Amino acid sequence: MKTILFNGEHRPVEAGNIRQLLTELGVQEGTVAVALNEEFVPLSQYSETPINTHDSIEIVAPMQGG
Amino acid sequence: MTWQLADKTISSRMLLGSSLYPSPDIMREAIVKSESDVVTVSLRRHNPALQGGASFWSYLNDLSVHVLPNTAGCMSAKEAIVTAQMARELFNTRWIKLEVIGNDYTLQPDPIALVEAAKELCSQGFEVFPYCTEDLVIAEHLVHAGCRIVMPWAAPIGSGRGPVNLEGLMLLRERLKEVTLIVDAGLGAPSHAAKVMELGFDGVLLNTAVAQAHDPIKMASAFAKAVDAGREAYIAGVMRPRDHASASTPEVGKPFWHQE
Repeated sequence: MKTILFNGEHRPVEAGNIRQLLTELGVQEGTVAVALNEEFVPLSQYSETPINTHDSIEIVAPMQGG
Repeated sequence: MTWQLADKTISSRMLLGSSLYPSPDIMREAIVKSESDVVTVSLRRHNPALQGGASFWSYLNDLSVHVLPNTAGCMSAKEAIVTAQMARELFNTRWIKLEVIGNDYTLQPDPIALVEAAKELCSQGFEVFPYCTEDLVIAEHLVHAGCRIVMPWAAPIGSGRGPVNLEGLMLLRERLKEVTLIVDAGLGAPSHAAKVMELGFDGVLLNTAVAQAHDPIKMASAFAKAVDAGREAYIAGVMRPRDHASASTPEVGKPFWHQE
């Protein structure tokens, strides 16, 4: 178990990489986009992108906008 | 009549935002009535509890419009660049409405960070639609950075004041003839949209004025007519104002005339 900053809030997670994190959070791939420590992570790199304790992860979804 | 917006051939010169409507149904109907081909969208933190964006997104997909994601709320070039990269993947488009806010009271763009972000995003293959003020020099920097489209404000976002510096907008149009110019932000009434279209702007981008109207669907239709009217007037050639009166009815042959 490690603690990450997920969308601005501290959260304990088991996942070792981004793909596992999305599964752990119940988020379907392709419906969101991901940034790790303020860098964009493309969907194709989810499996190879490890998650370490204190990492900051942003997961965003479509929203209304002007 | 169709026109070319970046790599797309579209019909409407009115781009419409998807935010602030009373309901997703009303948003959908307003988009349909506006006949807009381009609708702006955004990204926000995923919240499994809310699923707030899901229904609106499925509605938009059904309408088969081109989506223009924004970087609203970004306060630095870095934030805007990463947001644009996430938007490109999520919305499957290389179009990005680039907003880098420099002052959170006026929502005025940060021109320096805007140009920096525009340059980087253009080099990464994005079609950048930068939201800026009517400052000619900043607009020229954006064009040099690779932007084919520039989107000056009419007035601060959501203010509905209409164009506060018409001379500045006219100068932009005059000096940047080859650039697609879209007035973004601050339009409140259809007459505002008609006014800037009469000046030769290529389009307008609206959100609050439609979404927050008493009847957004009717207002979408009203703006669509105003945009068309303004464009048609620009093509027809608006007369120059004169200092003095000039009779429109012929003088020759009028009754009761006699030589003094």
